[in-house]
Amino acid sequence: MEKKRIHQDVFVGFFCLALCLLIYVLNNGLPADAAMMPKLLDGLLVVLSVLIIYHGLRKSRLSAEGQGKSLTWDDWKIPVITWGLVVVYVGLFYLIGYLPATGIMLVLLMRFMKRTSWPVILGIDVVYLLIMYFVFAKMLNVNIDNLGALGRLL
Amino acid sequence: MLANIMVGFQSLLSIDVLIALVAGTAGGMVIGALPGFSAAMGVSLLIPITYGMSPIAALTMLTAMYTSAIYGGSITAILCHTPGTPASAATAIDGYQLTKQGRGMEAMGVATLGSAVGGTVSAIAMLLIAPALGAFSLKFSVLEYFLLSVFGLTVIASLAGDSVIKGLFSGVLGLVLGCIGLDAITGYPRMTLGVIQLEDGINFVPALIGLFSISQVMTLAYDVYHGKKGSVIEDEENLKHSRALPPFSELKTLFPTMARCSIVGTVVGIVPAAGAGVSSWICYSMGKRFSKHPEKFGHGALEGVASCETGNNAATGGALIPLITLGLPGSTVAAILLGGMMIHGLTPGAAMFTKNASTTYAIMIGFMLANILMGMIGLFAARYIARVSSVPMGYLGPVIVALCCIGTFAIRNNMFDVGVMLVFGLLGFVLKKFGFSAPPMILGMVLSEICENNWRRAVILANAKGGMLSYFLGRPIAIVLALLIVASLFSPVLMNFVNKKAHAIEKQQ
Repeated sequence: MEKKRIHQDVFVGFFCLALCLLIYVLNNGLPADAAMMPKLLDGLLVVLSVLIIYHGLRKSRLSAEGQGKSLTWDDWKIPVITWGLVVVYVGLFYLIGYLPATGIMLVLLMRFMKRTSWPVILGIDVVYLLIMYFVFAKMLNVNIDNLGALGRLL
Repeated sequence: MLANIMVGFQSLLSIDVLIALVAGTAGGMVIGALPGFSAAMGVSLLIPITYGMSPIAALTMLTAMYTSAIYGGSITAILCHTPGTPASAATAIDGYQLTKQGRGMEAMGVATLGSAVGGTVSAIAMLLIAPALGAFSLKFSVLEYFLLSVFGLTVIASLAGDSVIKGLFSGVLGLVLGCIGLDAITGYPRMTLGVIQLEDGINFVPALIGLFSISQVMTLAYDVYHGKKGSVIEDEENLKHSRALPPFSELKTLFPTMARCSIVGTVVGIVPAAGAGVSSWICYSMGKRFSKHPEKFGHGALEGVASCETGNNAATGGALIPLITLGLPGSTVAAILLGGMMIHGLTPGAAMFTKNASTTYAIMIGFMLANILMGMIGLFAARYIARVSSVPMGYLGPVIVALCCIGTFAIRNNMFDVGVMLVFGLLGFVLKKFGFSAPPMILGMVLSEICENNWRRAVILANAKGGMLSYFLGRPIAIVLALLIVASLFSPVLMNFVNKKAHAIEKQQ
């Protein structure tokens, strides 16, 4: 007999319900007037979450093949690592400033995204930094030419 | 009106506006030519750069980016068989066939001319229709504005992606996110978790950049690791020596098609949620029906290219009409543009044609000039712009990340906004993976304040006039809007039908 599995939308729906609970808790202590809109919307979200679960359960009745491909760690791994690298970059941006952090990030992320030509990588890096320095720091007066939190400490 | 048009022209004749116009047009063509990069992403990346500009320069740049990105998608659709944007999917059918026959540049010329004609006609329609519609909006009270914002939300949510329920969930969640911050009437902080920066609410632009750009870079990284390559231009050597336009005898037979599709495209654009994609398919189908040689469609018909390219660019101007006059965004890009307008202190409605008339007319004329400029640049540079599609994503992705960060930081010189962008970037990717669409969330965030404030004012007014039902029944426009909301909830059924027809046409080819 063909094995059936619970469709991922069921879990997604329950997560949505948990989110609704959080929204309710966050608005619970507010005056009725201020809480009216968020609570009304929360009610709508509850209805939609239940509908997501219902449709998920209906899809669960289908065979594994009929349900289509469900998400695996392989679908998440590279995008999540990319996001993690961007988080590290933002951390560096905060600590050492935009230009040094960007100089490092561009090289690392290009290498991570399978670019191998060092002259091209370094060329893009230098040209980008020069454009950003003159456009943002000099023309638009954005405060990017200091050394971030480190610069403020020194 | 004529006086306003003259003032609008004069306002455009400043160096910063002209630079914005050229940059927006050229930038849009490049963004549109990059497969996977949409007009929405281009416009959202551009918004922080426009902060220091005047409203005229900023909105001219943003609308120029919008229309030229739709056109830019056709370049790779024709020369590489890779539609740069969803709106140019229909163009790829006949466009690529023509490229294979060694007539790629002629197809590009027709697409360029059609796009410029469609966009220009829609801009003229905007100049003629928008002021009248703006005057009509004077009859709107808070109840109508509330219903209009609900209408905008239902329209987008019901058409955003495969699942209507998930689209609606995304839109309502956007409304909830828009409630974060100090309540405008009582002053109580709502859902701020004690974070002081959240008391001003979630800034719309970092959220937008995160949802559209950071999540797209995450998708690009996945594609890089799974062997997805950039596009290849078909027979590039031959393109260098071929003519930019077909012979005049052949070109003149396309003018009636372009005229028809300009009008139809503009009307489709005005209909909320239809947008450039739907318009191009409708015009393609209509072009085939009116053609003397329908059998050529799908095998390299210039008429096919002309019809869909005229239609999709005509829809861009059409979509701006309800946006400017009623604050009703009919597409994702229009929703982002609404945010851009608000940032620059422009509130859609009657005031756009009274207090801000010179700015509004300048923006509309700027949009028209952008379409003409797009045609001129396109005729000379399309073959070069097509090359950007072959730039490896591994180079583009990191540059986009760096641009996102500085663009977000530049808004208020604030790292908190960069953090918001990161969170929304991850959220955008997760939403996409689980079949939730991001555009309704953005629309929800934009409309949240309008929706809530007008609703609360409407309740106060209704209480003074004997209750909501009697107040509602005494306002015919509100009743029509309520009916439109109900109708829009059933629009997925209609759109399903249109999509099935479109797929049937595609399969026939």
